[in-house]
Amino acid sequence: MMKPYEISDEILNAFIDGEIESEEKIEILRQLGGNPELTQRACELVRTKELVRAAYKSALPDPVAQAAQPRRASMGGKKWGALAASLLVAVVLLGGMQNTSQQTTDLTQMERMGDGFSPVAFQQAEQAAALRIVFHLTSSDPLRMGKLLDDVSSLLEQTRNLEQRSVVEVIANGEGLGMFRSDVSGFGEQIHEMRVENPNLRFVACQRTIDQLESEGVGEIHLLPDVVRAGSGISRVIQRQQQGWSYIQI
Amino acid sequence: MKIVELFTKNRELKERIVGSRERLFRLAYSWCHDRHHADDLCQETVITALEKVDQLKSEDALDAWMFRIMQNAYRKHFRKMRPQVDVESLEAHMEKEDPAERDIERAEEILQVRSGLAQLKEGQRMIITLVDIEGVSYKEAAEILEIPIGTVMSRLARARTALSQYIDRREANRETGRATKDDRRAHLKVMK
Repeated sequence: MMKPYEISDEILNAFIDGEIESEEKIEILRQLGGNPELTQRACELVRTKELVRAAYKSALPDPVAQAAQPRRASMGGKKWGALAASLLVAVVLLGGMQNTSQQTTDLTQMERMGDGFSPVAFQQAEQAAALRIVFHLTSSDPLRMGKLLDDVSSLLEQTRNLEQRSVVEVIANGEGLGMFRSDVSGFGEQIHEMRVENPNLRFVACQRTIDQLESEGVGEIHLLPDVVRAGSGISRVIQRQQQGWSYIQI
Repeated sequence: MKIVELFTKNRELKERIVGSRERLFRLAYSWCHDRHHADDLCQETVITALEKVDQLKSEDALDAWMFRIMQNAYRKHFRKMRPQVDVESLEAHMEKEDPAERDIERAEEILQVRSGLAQLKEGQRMIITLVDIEGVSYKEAAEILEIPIGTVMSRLARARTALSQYIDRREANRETGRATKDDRRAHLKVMK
């Protein structure tokens, strides 16, 4: 049997959290039985613990589709963009070549569409594709943008030559949005040619970044005609990964 | 392990990561008390976890691993920001939450707990939310926050004491406020 000892706040907290071993637990229970003041302290701790748990029980995120709603400027997409900006970070070949039965078309979640958007052609390509890849651009570096477009062109050409059906989505958010802005992008012509040649290719701009830039006083953001808008670039990347698309971050 | 098994395992892990959004959001919200920031933190954590899933040593440690990613992201971006509970925002969102919480008493209780947590030091707030909301063990909390278990215990004890005292003070103030209103009503009755 353990010798009686003074129960500290730390030990009492550990007791109510179930972190105490059995022998010590028996000693604490014994002391609680004969010490109303100690029992009161333990009850207060349990109550505080329960209050904290209950205070956040119903704190839930907005559904992914709603998370794309226009929002106030806060942390700034630029910061997140800078955080994520790196060289080719990851190629996650999860289910890149897999059964297409899991594919779902989420065109309803595309909030607004540009003139160059051909939803039917892309949908058909998506349904037939064995290889689905999403490129994610967060960098404002023109060299990376150029490399991205070259890589995408090369990939599409290779899959065409191999008679392999593929579908590619290029999503830009944060600082990467510049590639799709008609006022600052130097890639408008190249993007247009790629889109005309490849019905299985889609360029997607993050509406959340656009809203943020506009709320920061940049003025109205105009996109290239071959670019469509999705509510949130990051949410879309997550969706695509959930659907088994391979992911390449630039 | 066969390649197919490896892909299957990876796929299951990624599904678990994406499926953790609600839990991550709840924890992130308890740290920063801002829905938009919490959403950003949550998404950042999911993206990072998906990218680095191969670095996870044990599937059993997935939750703790993601909490650690999130606390690193939080510290990086919110170090200088003290979380504040926005009463208007809270009340607006209360409508979206559990209908039972539209009850004014319940809403006040939630508000005072959240306010109390926002007053705590960052380290105290993190430990109390990890243990009480997510139910992580002291050992896991020590690993997530990269501190010794002894520090987990002392911080948690201080956090609960401080929060308990804060709640007691707020409740006392509310009682005083109610008493004053009752006095006024009684006074008005006498006047009538």
